[in-house]
Amino acid sequence: MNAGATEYETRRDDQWVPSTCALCYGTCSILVHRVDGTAIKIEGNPESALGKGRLCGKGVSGLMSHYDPNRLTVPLRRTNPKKGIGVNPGWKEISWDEALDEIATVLKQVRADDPRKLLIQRTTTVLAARTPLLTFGAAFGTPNMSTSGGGLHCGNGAHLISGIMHSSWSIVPDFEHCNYAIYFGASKGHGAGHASSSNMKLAADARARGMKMVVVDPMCNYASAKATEWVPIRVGTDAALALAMCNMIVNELNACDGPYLQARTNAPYLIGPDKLYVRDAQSNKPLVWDTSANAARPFSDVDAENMALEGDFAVNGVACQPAFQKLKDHLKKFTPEWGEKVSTVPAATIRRLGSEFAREARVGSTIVVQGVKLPYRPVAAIAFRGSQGHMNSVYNFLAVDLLNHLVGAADVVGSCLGFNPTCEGHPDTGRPYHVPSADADGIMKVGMWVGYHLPYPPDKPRMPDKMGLQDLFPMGMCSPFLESDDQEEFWQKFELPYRSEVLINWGSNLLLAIANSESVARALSNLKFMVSFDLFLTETSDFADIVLPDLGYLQQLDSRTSFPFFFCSMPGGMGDWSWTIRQPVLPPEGKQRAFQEVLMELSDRIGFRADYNAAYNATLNLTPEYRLQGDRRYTWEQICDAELKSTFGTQHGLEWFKKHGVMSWPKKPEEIYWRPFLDVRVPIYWDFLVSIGEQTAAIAEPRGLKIPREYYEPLPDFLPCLSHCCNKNEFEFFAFYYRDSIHTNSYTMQNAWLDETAQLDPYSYTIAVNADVGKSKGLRDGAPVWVETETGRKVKGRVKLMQGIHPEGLGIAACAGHWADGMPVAKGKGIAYNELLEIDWDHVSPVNLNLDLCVKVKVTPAEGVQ
Amino acid sequence: MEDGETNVRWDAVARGNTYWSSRRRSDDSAAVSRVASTGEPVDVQVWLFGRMANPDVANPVPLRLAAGCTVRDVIDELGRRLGPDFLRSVLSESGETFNTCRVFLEGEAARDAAVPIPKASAATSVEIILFREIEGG
Repeated sequence: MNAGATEYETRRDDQWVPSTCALCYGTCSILVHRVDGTAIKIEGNPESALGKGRLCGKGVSGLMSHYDPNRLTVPLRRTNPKKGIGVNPGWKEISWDEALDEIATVLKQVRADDPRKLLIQRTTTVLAARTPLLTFGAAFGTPNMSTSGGGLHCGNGAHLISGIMHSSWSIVPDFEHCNYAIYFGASKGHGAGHASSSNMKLAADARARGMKMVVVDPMCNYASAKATEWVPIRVGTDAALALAMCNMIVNELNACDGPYLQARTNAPYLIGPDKLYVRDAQSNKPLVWDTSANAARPFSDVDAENMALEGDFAVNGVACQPAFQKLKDHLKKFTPEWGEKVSTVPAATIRRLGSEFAREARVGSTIVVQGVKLPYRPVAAIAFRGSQGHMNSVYNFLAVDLLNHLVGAADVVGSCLGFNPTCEGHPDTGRPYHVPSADADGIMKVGMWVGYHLPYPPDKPRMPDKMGLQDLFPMGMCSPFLESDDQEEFWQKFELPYRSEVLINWGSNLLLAIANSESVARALSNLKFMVSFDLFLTETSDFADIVLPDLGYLQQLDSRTSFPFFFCSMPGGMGDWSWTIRQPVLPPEGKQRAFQEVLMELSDRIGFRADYNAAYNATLNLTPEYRLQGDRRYTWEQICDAELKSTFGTQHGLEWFKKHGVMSWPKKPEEIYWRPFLDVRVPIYWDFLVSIGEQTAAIAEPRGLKIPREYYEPLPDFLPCLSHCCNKNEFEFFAFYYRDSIHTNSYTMQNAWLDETAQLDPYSYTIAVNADVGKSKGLRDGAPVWVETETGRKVKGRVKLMQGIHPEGLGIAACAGHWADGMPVAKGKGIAYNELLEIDWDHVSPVNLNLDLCVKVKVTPAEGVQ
Repeated sequence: MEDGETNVRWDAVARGNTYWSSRRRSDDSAAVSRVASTGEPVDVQVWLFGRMANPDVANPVPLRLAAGCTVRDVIDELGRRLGPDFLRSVLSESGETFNTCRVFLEGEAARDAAVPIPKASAATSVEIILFREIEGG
């Protein structure tokens, strides 16, 4: 090699850049190989706990999303004032100055008039948007923020109850120690999302070690296919199976962990005839029955082992029972035979599953981890989107989690864990720090939450201030009323004094992600002005007045891609904490700009930079020396640097993180198996739900809205979905959608590699029907069919017969069926399941507003399906 | 990892363990150490941001409160000036916590309404901002 060639070689750009994936919200750590300014390969980063060097097929394919020639590169303004599906917006290129001038003028007027008229919508797929948009909304002064279908479909029950019962966003088995995991409509460790790459390895190791894994699901797909046992279940009836198993454990096997229930739940709290706690007259604390004194005393004055769990008592002449006695009596009606009728799971199977779960819990056992003696309960019952995406969202999820609490398998070794709800912080700085605490009733409050709508204690219902009406329904996090058919009726009924006029959309594709596109399109058309930050001209961006070309994840900077730790990136269980960043590997193309910088420029143009700085101080929890001052202008780099130095010290700012990518330190047993060490209780009996039901009804019923009290009972029940009440013979299938592990929501459908993979997969773009049932109806593989609901909504596609689906089930991978010209790879592929969904009060949980995602359908032959 | 025992009460293994109770946040004790001494009134400047900012009220709002005052006293005084809607948006039903807002004292986050107001060389700075975010995923 001559000297010139050597010089050429050393001057080449050839680097592996540490950063963070954004092809789903798992946010795995990556290394991007860049050569001469071109990214040529993406791999997992072995230095980080987020993936530990592993990366799924989606993550590897990120190059195709970045280099897609359909990416937006210039700001666009619509010239056609008419908006609608199929309407050409008549886009014309404009300058950034023109775009920001117009947006700032509109927003300035709205902020002066009533800041609540601004609605901010973002996708959950890419978490980079969370902090800047949350902060912008708070500084602007609007309470109206939403997370598209990501929250409405998968979050209202799962996150609410995980927060109340585990101080976490979600739950997962302690894979390293768990011996028996039962999943209800969940795929942790077998699909996208929560700590996906990490959990896949942990789950695989656990199965290889011998962990028995039972998956209860209408379809034998990602988790079921790797499970020890698949238990097919009628769609939306998970609570029936779980409650029958609970009944087995409590009333047939007598296998509860009494000491856990006494010490860490409200099971001993005395309940009066009004379904509420019986309280001490002086302290107002809930009373328990002290068996040593044979008297009722405040819970905080009695040793746990002396708290009665069963019996009938009288306090000041009022009859009362411990909450556990109430639960025990309540469960008796849920016999395995009843469970079979509702769920179709055979009674013998229910008995076996209940027995196995109770036996494998090893109640009374301990284990030593890193020198710390801990309770050992190696079983976990895990629920997620599948089981909670229904009208009966709360009880479906709570019934499953109750299995864990009955045997003391909550946040101890081998059990059901929250995702890292307790953190002592980095050894050098003690930050970040979040630890659950108890309220005056001794019930657990989260140590940290993603937003500022805490799961417990719930707010008292009141006349709504938010467009989503969550003030009136405080157990609801995300709301259907931003798009529902009856939104105006409800806003009038509850005297909402304003209407949304402006939407800032960041990357969400509402028309595909919420429900039928007709309803969503109508809601979008009612807005006076819409801005969309996006990568492509999606179906939803085609409703915008101005579209702004955003940076992709290989171009972005974000200082907190794995935080909050209790959210979904960091795997549960022992190992390391890892704080990670995302950094630009590649420059902007054309006129693309970072949305964080654009939002800050807008705050300057509108005149609320001081509020924006103050809001960043709060959201980033900056220490005094790094707080943003007054209305001073900062770059996004400076803000990221301030957060990192504030958290990890002066030596560990942005430059350090750009070089290293990740800061890791070891977890401690007291952090991960925190429950024995914190004097907090969780509610197996939800007395507060009774009060909320009454308070909501007191507002709603005088205005003509009946609140069904059966949804507000303190103990979980099985309540049917509308689909379970359909008796028309021709509507014989329960349609449902499932998360395809090849794709992330609607976002990755435009990725050419993933699309090719999905086309090779027999199920991604087809309609799955049980083979025996299908054949009996004359259906064959590839046959074009219409799938139609009772209300006449229909989609068409091709049948794929399979053995691994419940005979009554009809499964479609969501959310495909794009039609936008700006996404030509995705266009026309797969089926838009959400087109089958109604969106109104009748189709949501009257407690947490979760949309009912199952629907009864008929299948008829179709022609002309491509 | 070592094998453990059987027939042990769930709550017996950690009885008397003070791991978390001995790890109170350092900023809690720092705030307490700087509480105004008895007898001295405290001058406070309250900065209201985002939706809390009211065009009809000067920002910051100057307050003079009795010695030993807490965040709750600041909020109560603001409630008298700004009305019940202000109180309702800031405090939880119990009046003890902030479910939807953040309060900072001299740049340090206050965990709840019982946190005492520290004494500053001039007026103590209190910042209040509302967050009404909802999330999913």
